Formats: sequence, C-alpha cells, structure tokens
Amino acid sequence: MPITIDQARAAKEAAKTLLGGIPGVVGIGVTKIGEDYALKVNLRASLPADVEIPERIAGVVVCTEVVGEIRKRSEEP
Amino acid sequence: MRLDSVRELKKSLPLHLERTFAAKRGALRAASAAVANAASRRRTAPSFFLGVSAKGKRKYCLAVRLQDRALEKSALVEEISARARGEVDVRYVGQIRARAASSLWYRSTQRPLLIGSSVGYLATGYIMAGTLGCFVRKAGASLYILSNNHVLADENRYTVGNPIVQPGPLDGGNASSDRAAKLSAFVRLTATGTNLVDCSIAKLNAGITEDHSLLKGIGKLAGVRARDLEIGDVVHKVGRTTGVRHGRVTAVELDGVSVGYDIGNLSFDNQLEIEGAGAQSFSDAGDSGSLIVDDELKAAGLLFAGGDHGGRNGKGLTYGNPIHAVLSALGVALAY
Repeated sequence: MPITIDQARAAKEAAKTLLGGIPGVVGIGVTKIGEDYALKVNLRASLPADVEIPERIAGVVVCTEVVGEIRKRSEEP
Repeated sequence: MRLDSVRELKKSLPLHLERTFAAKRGALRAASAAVANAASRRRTAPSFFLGVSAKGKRKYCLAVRLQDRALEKSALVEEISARARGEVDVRYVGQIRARAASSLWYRSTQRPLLIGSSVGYLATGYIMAGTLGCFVRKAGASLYILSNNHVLADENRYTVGNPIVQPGPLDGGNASSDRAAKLSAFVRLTATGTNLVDCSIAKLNAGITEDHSLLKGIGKLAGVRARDLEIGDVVHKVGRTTGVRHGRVTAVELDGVSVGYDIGNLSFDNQLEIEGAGAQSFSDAGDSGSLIVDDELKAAGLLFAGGDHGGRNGKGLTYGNPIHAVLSALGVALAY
C-alpha cells in the first residue's frame, strides 16, 4: 500500500518536533516519490557531519534538499 | 542593534556627516542628496545611500550601499562605521538607475493595468519593484490590486491611503505621473510568530482602467482553483522580472519556511514550493506578487519568496501562499 498524504501529514508533525530545532532547517513539508507521499526537509546549507536526519520518520521516507537562502522576491537595488 | 536604533541612526547620520565633512562639501553634497533623495529620478551623481539590514532574528545593522568604489576605504565610511559602533553592512553596488522605458511590457507603463506588470510603493531612500498579481473585489464593485505586503505595504511600514505606482519605482514609476492605486489593507507580517500569507490590496484610483482577465502570454484567467495544488501539478505565472514562466509543484504544506525580509527572518507555515520547468527558474527577484495559476489557468497561489538553490534543474525554488488563504485573510474575491 502506498504511503498516504494523511500518513505524511502525521509524520510531518513528528518531524517538526524532532528536527525543528536544528539550525539550518528552513522548511518541512510534504512531497511525493512515485506513488508514495514523503517528507521534504529543506536545509539552508549542508548539515555538519555530526548532525543526521533520519531516513524515515513514522515509516515515511524523508527527502532532504539544500535550498540556500530564501528571500522575499521583490527587487531592490 | 535594535530596529528603532538603526532607523534613528539612519535618520541622523546625513546631518552629522555634513557637519563632520564640511571641508569636503562638494562630495558630501552629492552624498546627502543621495540619502535624502534616493528614490528620485532627478538625482545625478549619488555616491552612497543608507538602509537597514537584518543580521538575524531581531538583530539589525546599518546598510551602507556605495555607488563609488573610491568610498570603500574612505574616511566617510570609517565615520559611518564608528557612529554605528561597527554594526554596518557595507557593500559596493555601483550606480543604480530606475529602469525607465524598458522594452519589456511587464516592466513598463500599462494602461489598462495588466496582471503581471511592475508595481510598487514610494519610499524615500530607495526604489523597488514587484508584480501586480491580479484584481480582487470586496463587497461592492470597486476593484483592488492584489500583491504582497512587501510589494504594496513595505513590510507593514507603508500607510494606508498612500500611493501605489505602476510601474514600480525601480522601473521608473513616480508620484507625479504613475499613481494607479492607494494602499487599502494588508495582513501584517510578524517576526515573532508564524505567518501564513504575505498579501496586501490597493484600491484602484478613479479613471484607472484595467484588464482583470488577461494573463498576457498565457491566456485568460479562469477563476479560482477549488482544490489544493498537488505535488507534480504544472503551474504558470507572469511576473515583472521573468515574464511568463512555467513550473511544477515540488512540495505542499511546507511549515517553518524561513524567509529573509528587511524586518528579519520570518517563518511561514502551509506554503507551496515550485521548481522551474526546463532550464529556467520559476521566478526571480521582482516577481513577488505574481499570481500562480494551474494548467486550467485557475488561480492557485501568490508568489512571495524564492532562492537560487535546489530544484531538479538547480535553478532554485519558488514559494507561494495558497490562494484561498490569501483571499480569505483579506476578505476579498478574485475578479476574472
């Protein structure tokens, strides 16, 4: 059975508790891998070697991506 | 430094510098003019201007932007740094000119007003531009421009009733000939809690015409999408910097999205994430406020942030507020 969006939502809440305090985590949301919903954890930069993100949380696959600095998108000099 | 301390310093420095560098009056005259009049297109040779830069949560410093490399190691910058007790962010940015008379339609004057065109607020000290997202109605027939708080309301700092110009000041818009609307309402951005939306509306001035259906280069706006966007959905937008771009939803219901603003790093919950299609990003600086539409050209989101990393093509990711949250927070309905 594919992972449902409700399973991913529940895992997201657990992930926020588990990972929310890690400096450099700049977003935790829901994504999809094939038919399975998964968690997406966005990072400002690569994490130090001694900080690990679990491969699964509550049975849901965790995908990490370095997204850099996120800025408002107006243009100023 | 606290935000109010930086603002006070920014306000008092030009006079202090004028006194300190009285002997170099020629150079300072241009500098003071730049500080006082940076938003004006009449200025000729500004050499620096001042602003506020965020250093982290609730920490700020004085932004010093140099338009002349000779100032980088000058007594002038040393004096500014001393007055700010070293809490400065000094950068050479070169000469900045309002981009008047652009050949790109979305950066030039549009009457009737068009979705996707340049828009912004007027401020002393700097110029900016964002995107006119679409048009909305409150109770009654009046039409309003929908865009971001940071595009129309200067991150809570602009006063309701103040003018909105099209094109935005960075594209040559000015108070005398380009007033299109007045700031009407905005959802406050907060640095101390969670944000859900970055949105604002401005009521069209009498006599200003608009086309509230046309998504130039894409088609006709077809209403509001009923369901939430799904991962993998194809989306489109037209914006002031990159024009028409296409993308794909990569994540939904993103919480704790940390976005850099002048007032600090703000946290957003329940956001959309989009990557660009092909070899392009979905957006760039200046596209803030763009309406994100689905493949049926139904409104689905309001673009507000982005970065230069990530996405399958490596061109960066774009973030948007779900459109239902925006319309609901402002108590408005899409005009189409």
